[in-house]
Amino acid sequence: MPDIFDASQKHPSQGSVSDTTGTTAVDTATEPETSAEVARRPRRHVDEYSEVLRQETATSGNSFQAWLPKPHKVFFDTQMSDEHVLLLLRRHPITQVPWILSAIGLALLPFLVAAVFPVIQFLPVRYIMAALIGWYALVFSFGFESFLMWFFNVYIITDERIIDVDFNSLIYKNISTAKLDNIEDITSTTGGAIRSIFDFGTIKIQTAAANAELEFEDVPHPAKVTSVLNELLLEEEREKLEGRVN
Amino acid sequence: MSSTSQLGLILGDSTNLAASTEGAALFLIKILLIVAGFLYVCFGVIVTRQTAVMKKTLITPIEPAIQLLGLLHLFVALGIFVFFLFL
Repeated sequence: MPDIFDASQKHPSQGSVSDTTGTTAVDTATEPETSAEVARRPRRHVDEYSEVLRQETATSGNSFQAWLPKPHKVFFDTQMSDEHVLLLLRRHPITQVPWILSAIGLALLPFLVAAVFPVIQFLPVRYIMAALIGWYALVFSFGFESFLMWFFNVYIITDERIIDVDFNSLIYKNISTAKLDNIEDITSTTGGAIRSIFDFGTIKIQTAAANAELEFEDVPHPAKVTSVLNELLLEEEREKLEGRVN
Repeated sequence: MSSTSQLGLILGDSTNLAASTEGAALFLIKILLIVAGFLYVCFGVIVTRQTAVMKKTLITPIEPAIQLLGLLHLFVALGIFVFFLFL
């Protein structure tokens, strides 16, 4: 006859029970985690909750690309110590073709002018050289400024916020920030043959912050960006439910 | 005064006038080049300053190279300005 279990007595093998088959089952019941323990739990790595970024390999910060997932050694001035840059975006390189072609045309213009209007040939040689040097200095300035505008106008997605860095000209800077918690709506637009072929588009993000709307213009893979943002929003909700809010 | 010498004076005056006109045009072009060179140096200073501001906003490993390019651009602008001055 089997022993009658008496809960008031402490059993010698507390935490383990032997059944008639000889196998041992371990009682894994533990004390529930306190909220402080949950809050101290380390933040999950992005690969754990983002399927899109899990499939992307980390990129070097040296790259001139427009799509930089998990970039190495990329920081921004208002970044917090425990904040990580997950995605760095720029306008698609195809949007830079107009100014590149313009710069090439401007570089070739003196030869065309000299062939069609030989007026400049009446000037002394040093004046012609000065004019050419001045012209190519202007063309270089135009190209350099256009490159700086493209390189430094970035859209950053971190595990806490989204940031829109805009240098509208060399002397005008505008940085818009919104916490992921404040994102209300995400709209992705890809219109036209060029945008469809090269897979780039505009993402409009409605927020509940002071800046009602952030716009990521002509970024590559807009569908992936939208998916990443949705995954981040889900992770934020999960953090709130689990009490892991930082 | 004989007609030949009068003709020579007129032609000489025309030649001098043409030379002075050409000299004035070249002088004007030089002034314009100097002004353009000065403005280009100012632009170079602005580019260098803004590259530094941009570098502080977004920090990537490649930015020292871009800042160096900006400084090089400024030195070239100064060189062009000096060249225009001594044209």
